[in-house]
Parts: sequence; structure tokens; C-alpha cells
Amino acid sequence: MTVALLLAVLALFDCALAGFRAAAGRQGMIDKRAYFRGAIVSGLLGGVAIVACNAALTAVLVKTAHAPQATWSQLVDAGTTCIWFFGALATATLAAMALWFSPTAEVQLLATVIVLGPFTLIRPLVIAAGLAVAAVQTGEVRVGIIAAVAGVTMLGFEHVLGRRYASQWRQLV
Amino acid sequence: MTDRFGPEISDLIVAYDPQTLARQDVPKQRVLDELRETGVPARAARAAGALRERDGVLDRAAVDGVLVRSHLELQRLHEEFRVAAHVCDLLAPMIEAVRSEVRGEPIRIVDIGCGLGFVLRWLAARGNLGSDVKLIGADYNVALVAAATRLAAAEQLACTFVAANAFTLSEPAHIVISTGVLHHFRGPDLTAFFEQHERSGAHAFIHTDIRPSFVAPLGSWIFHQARMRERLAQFDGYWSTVRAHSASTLRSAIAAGAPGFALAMLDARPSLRSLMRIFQSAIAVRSPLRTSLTAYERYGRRFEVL
Repeated sequence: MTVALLLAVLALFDCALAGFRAAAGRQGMIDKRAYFRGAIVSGLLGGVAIVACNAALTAVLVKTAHAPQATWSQLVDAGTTCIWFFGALATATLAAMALWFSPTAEVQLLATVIVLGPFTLIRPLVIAAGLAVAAVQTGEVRVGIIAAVAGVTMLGFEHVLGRRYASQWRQLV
Repeated sequence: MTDRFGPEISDLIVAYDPQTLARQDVPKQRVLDELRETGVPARAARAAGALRERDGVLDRAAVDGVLVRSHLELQRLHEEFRVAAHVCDLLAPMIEAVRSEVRGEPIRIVDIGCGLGFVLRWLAARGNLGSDVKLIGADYNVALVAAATRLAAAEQLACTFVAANAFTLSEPAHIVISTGVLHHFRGPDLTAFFEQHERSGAHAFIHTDIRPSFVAPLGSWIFHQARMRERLAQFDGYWSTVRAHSASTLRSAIAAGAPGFALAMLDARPSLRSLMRIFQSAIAVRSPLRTSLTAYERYGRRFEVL
């Protein structure tokens, strides 16, 4: 259960950031605190829905398995593999965010340019790689199905959120 | 003089009459031909090729839409890089110096090529520059000026935006600023740009633009891929780093075009640490105000009077 909870926390963290990213660069006000708060909350709420859906799917697939206990064990193994991948990315992201509090401008910039920019690019690869390795390692079809659904929902989420903000620019012309 | 780099897409997809600033039609094929002939990477042509056209002419509404969206994304980058706060820091001593020259008149700061006016709106919201400072943004693009005006109105910010040549305003600038504009002027146009400063009544200018370095294009490419959604913004952002003027180019152009100004540079000096600096600034005051440049010595080795 610890593995499942950790994965849920990581997924919610990722969804909150996805909410921020989906909203960023689409609104021109100077004071965007409320805007970004709303975007992050939307991301989190969407994340709760995603986690709930994936948890429900997992429960159904485990319950309907020939050997539910063995399937659950395989899922825990797969989840542990995923935590290594996602946890590493999340830890590095949090560390980079911590650098924003540095008094040195270059260090703050370093966090943005060297870490957060490239990390946004590699995030889909890390998610896909973590899920693929986890699924392949166990060789269990049900794990593969859960990994595929988790991957699609996590990677598609930001795109779906982004549609909400995509036409905001029209208010300016 | 031939520019060794081709243009940015945004330089080609809009055109204005140099006298009246009236918008002119831009044939799409002309844009594509120019991009191809100047050796700009093929993805620039693909981005330009995706723009809507009518009877072979670029659709103005579509072009304005791309420009507004790209500038919104650009604003995000400027927010992350704290560009406006940096400009504010640079402006403060200059305002002090100019205040003694204008004798009770409001100090007019004009932002050239202001786009969505992010820097000016930030200065109006958070700059605390003083009640005697007037902030005016000038840009040729009416759509961007309208958007900047709407954004300023939405937050009740004390700044105005005009679709005009910044050097022919009815109330001329005391201090001219720009961000990310200088590299759009190439060769003789760069000198001509500074000649306009010389002829104007401006007491000072601060132009902040991308600082060229060997790592900048790669970093810029990665960053724009990560941050920008518009293909035009992705390409132009990267390409502007490639086209960024060296400090010596800026120095020569300013010396030739605006000899009446005393020039200093910030963050132009090459060093390992400066690799992490994205911008450099040309800071200049009319020669009688030269001593005001000493206020920037707090930047240490980052700052040099030329």
C-alpha cells in the first residue's frame, strides 16, 4: 500500500505542475497569483480524478485475476520501479525549485535554464520509460494494461488542461 | 553589409510603410522565398508555411494571433528571467540623473518595440519609479499595442501604449529603453537606430538584449522547445540567440550613430560566470551626465564604462 500511496503522491505532484504548465504563457497580466493558484488547483483536482480512475482500474484487474495476491505483488514490484524513475525526476525538480530561493541571481537562473526547462522536455520520456520498464520487468498483461492507461492519462492530462486556456489570447485582440 | 544570419520569421510576416506606418500586405511566397534564400533552417519555413493566407497574402488576423500568442509566451520567459526587475534596477539611477535635467517636467520613459508591454506594465505595477515618471510603450504593430493597452487597463496600470515610431512622439522620450529588440536591427540599420537616439531629445538609453555565447544557441533551443508552443516563437527565440549582437558590434554602432552619448555595458565582458547570464545591456547617457554612470559600479566587474 505504501508503494501505491507514494505513486499517488507523485502523480498528484505531477498533475499540479501540469496545471501550472498548461496555464503558463497564456495570460498576460502582471499579477498572476490567483490565475496560477486556480491552474494548480485544477491540476490537482484533475490529478485526484486520474488517480481514482487508475486505482479503480487496478482494483478491478486485481480482483478479476486468477491469483489476485500474486498479481498485486507484481503490481507492487512494477510500482517500485516506477517510483525510482518518477521519484528521481520529482526530487530533482524540487531541488531545482529550492534553488529559486538562492540569493544569487545566476543560481536562480541555473535552476530555470539548466534544470526546469530540460526537465519539462524529458518528463514524457521519464514517465514512458518508467512505465515501460515496469511492465516489461513483470511480464504480466494486467500490469501492462495499467501501465498503458496510467501513461496515457498522465501524458495526455496537460494537453487536455491546456485546451481550457488555449483561446484566452482572443480576449486581447 | 550582408548579414551572415537570415531574418526571424516575425521580421518578415509583417510590413509597414516607413512613412505612414500603415500596414502592408505580405505575400506568403515572398516570406518563404526569403527564408529559403537566406539559409535560415528549414523549420522556419515550415512555421511560416503554416500561416493562413488569402489570395497569396498572409492573413493579417492570423498573423496578429500568432504574434500575440508568441508574445504571451515570451512574457513568460521574461518573467522567469526577471527581465523587468533587472530593467527596473538599471533605470533607477538613470531616472535620478535625468530628473535634475528635466526640471519638474515628467520623466518620459519610452519602451521601443514594447510588444505586449510587459516590462512597462511591470514597472507601473511594481517599479516604484516615482509619480513624476511617465511610461510609454511604442510598437508598430497595432494588435500588440491594443493588447498591451487592454492588459494595462485590466490591472489599472499607469502606462500608455501607442502604435508609432518611438522617436517621433509628440512628447519625446527622456529615457529610451528596449528589451530583446537590438538584434532585429542589422548592419547599417543598427547604426541608423542609434542615430535616431542622437537626433532625439533623449538624455539616456538602456537597451537590453540577448548576450551571445557559444552555449546560448543550444540552451536557447532547449528552453524554447520546452517553454514555447508556437512554432514561430520556438524558432525566433532560438534564432534571436544566434543573431544576438556581440558587445563590440553594439559598441561600434553606438559610437558611430550616437557619439554624443557616454556608453557603458553590463554583462558584456566574457567570463565563465557570465555564461549563465542571458542578457547584456547597453547603458548610455548624454556626455554631460557621464558621472551618473558611476552608480552602476555596484555591479562590479559585470559593468564597464567604455
